[in-house]
Amino acid sequence: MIDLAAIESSWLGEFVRAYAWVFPTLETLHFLGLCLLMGALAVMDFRLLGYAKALAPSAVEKFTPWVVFGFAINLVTGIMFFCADPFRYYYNDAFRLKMLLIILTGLNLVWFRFTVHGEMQQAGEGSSTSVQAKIIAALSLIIWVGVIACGRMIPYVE
Amino acid sequence: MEFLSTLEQSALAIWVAESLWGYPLVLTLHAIGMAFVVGILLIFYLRILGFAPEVSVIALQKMMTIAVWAFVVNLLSGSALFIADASRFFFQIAFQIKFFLIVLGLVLTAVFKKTMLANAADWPGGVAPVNARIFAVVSLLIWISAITAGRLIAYL
Repeated sequence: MIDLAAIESSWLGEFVRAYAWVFPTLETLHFLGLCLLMGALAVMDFRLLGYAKALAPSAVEKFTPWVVFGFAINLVTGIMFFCADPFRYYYNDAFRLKMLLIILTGLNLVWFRFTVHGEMQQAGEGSSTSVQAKIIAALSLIIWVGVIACGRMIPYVE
Repeated sequence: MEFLSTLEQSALAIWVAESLWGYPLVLTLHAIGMAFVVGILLIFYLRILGFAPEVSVIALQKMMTIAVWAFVVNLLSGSALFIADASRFFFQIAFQIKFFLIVLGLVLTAVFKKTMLANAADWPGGVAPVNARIFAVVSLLIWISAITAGRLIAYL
């Protein structure tokens, strides 16, 4: 199985624990990452849901790199958190649920890619979106809000 | 200070401070609100700086309504968090800085909307003028600093 002790004694884990300023700095970056991710995603998802129809879905789709960038910041900072205290997170119910929900967002993304993405890239200002697009967008928002909630709850379920 | 103690003794404050789930629940709402307020603002200002130039700035403004609702959530949840330990937060430098930055951020957003953004229809090719971009950079830094100050509240 996964060797938590090895992860804990890794140089990355040691680094995060070594200086008091590292963890709060990582937390701030983690919050920033989630804001970028959610902000870009919110603009796209709300448009797919039919809000602000003056926006072209094909145009707001161009915010995608910011979703990825936000996610990347959080993946890196998240790995660093984990390395610093793997036993804490590995056995934490909120953390586990958070990881599960992130996997679900990934599945939702795959579904999006194989169906609605093409539609979105062609859709101009004022266009209506399919029911499928609306479902995927709603799921995206709901699941990511769940991710934030689980993340926030990590210290409180220990 | 007396009025701070009065706030701390309110039913809401006691619930947040002493119930098992009161504090985490309010804090979670605050985190979700932050994601949408700062998130949408960040994206909006990034557009002003020239990213995703295909997006109409005027149309994108509609998303600010969502940011406003999220701000209301944070104002309410923030107030609930504050009153639970009013005496501590009122005098804490991190909280004071955060509060100041948020007020500043709001004022700048309002000024931006009334002045530079009012002419957005005239921007050639949808490209924001230099003064709007400078405004965007300053605003981005203020909101990022507000988040940082907010995080530090827990540590001071």
